[in-house]
Amino acid sequence: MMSIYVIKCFLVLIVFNCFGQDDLLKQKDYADSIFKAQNYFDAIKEYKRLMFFDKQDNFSFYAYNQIAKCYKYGGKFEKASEYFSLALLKARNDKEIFHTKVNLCRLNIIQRKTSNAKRMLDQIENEGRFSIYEDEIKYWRAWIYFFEWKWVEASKIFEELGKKNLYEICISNKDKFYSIEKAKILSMFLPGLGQFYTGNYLSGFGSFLWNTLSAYLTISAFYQDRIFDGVIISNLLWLRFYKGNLENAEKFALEKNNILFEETLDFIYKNYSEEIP
Amino acid sequence: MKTILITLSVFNYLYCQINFFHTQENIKLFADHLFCEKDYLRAIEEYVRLDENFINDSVLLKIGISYLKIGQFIQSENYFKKINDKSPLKEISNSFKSINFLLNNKVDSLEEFCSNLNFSNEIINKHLIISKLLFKDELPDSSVITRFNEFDKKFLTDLIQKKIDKKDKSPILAASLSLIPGLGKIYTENYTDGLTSFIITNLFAYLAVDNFNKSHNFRGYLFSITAIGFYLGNIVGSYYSAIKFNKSRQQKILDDSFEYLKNRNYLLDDVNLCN
Amino acid sequence: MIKNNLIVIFLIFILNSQLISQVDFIRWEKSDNYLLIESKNSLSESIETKNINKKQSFIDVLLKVYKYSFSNFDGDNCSFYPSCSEFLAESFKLTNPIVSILLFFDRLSRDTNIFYKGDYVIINNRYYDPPSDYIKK
Repeated sequence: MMSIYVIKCFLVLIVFNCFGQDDLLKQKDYADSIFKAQNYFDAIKEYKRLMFFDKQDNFSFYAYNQIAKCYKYGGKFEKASEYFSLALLKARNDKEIFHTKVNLCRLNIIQRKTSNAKRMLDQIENEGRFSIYEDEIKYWRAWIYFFEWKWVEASKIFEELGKKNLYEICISNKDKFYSIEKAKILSMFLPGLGQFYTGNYLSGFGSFLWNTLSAYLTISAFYQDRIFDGVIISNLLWLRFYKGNLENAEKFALEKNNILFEETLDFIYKNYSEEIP
Repeated sequence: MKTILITLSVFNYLYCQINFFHTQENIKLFADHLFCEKDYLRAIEEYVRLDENFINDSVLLKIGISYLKIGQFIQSENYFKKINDKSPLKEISNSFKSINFLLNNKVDSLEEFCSNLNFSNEIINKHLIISKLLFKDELPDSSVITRFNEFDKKFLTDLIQKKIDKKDKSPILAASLSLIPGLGKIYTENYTDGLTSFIITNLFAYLAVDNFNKSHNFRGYLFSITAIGFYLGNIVGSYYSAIKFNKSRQQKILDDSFEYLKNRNYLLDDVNLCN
Repeated sequence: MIKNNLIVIFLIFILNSQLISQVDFIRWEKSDNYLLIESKNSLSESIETKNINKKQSFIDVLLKVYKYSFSNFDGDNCSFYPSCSEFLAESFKLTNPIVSILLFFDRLSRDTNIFYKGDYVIINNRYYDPPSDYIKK
């Protein structure tokens, strides 16, 4: 003999089972699980499915945002920015608008379009209604400086915001990075010196030799009163090598800095993946 | 009573675990949506999930077109083959197949394909005419042109005109003109290159003569070798620059034509699989 | 022959344009580190040159000597891609040495052209001018 209570309980259970989870929510969870498994190509499909069946547009902001993130993590930045822009159109409140704009800005930072990113942050700041997010805006500004290798400015902001790890990275990079101007100026005074500064000794030595040789040829031609020859040699040889010497100094400094920067980015990506653009 | 309730609730639980958006009907709907959104690879992946009962000629056609769009011609061929010969969609699939031949410059295969068809297909005939004109320089009859509509007629007559007054540059002539440095380059319409080469050859020749006169023999030899190099180099360069000129001219005609055809959806006016 | 070349060029053009313009026409995976995608990859360049060095002929050795003793020091003068010495190396593979050297001289004179250089495709701020544009293999 079963009491009426037990039957009621079962009925309630059945009803809850079925309506507790809406189909759309189920699809969203499914898409999210694929997203978490980092299977981004398929995740995009599931988010598109979510949007396709979501006739009331409840999930479109979320789905566009997630699709954009999928493209971003897959390295397809053009597509990512396209979908963030679509998400921006669907954003319903200030918070959503702000975060999508910041996401677009972050994409620009990753793509090294720092001037674009700066302009976007300025715009966000000028709008006024986002003043509660002041710290976050500052934080992304620091990242722009970071990608521009302006370590002093970046470290100041990170210190102010209490991001000790990032601050320390900036400070150590400030000492490690080569100064391109210094390399060029050194090479300007003595061909090859800038290359010595960046540690490319062989190339520095070669530059020095070629410059001395062509300078000698030029001067000796002028000395023998063969002005025309001198002009040709100085143009075709000396100027070439002198220009090459300056370019090499700059190139090596940039190359070394690029490698250092790549190492930094690799380190940050592996250790502080939550805080990167 | 108890067991009934328990089984009911278990079934209910299982039933609720099924995602309604992944039923066959919904997969098809969503796949069609992806196809119309031009997300062809994902559309294929969805269509492939469909059961036998849900795969009809229209699905096969869409899969074929999707493969065509992502550049997998063999796969698209396989799906087009599966479409029933009596289906009205067969004609559309044939048209898409002929685009495949047209894009891959298989004029002979296209001709064979066209002659093997039971019913004559207007679009394929047009494709054949265009590809013959593009790749084999075969000019069509004037009667044929009237079958095209206003826009296509203009495109076709322009193309024919370009093929008729084909002004290819002769490499031999370019090389012989280059006996005077730079003239060959001017003939192949590289005017500044011609001028530069004239100046540079003469400059080095002058330097060589001057150095020999002043009995600086080493420098004299150096400059004469360079001058001779530039002189002969200009002759050979003009010869090849004429070849390059013809090649890029031909390429430009091809590019323009395919651009036009692409914008015109390969003349498939009435085919609209997405409403 | 010309036609065959054209077809190949055209096919490459079509495939490239489709694959590049449409990201989703081929499956892709998560990128290893998306921060590094846009970086000037100095490391991958050196790997590339290492691969080329595997098959060495006499001419390659000569060109290498030229590169390491001279061309590395004389600055970035060539406005073409591939650079003049690379142009020479590539044309050696396509045709006989005499024609290659003469084409190299022609290339040098075109490089000295300070006026309008002509309608070249621009890659990395350089005019794309490979020897295969002139010589068919």
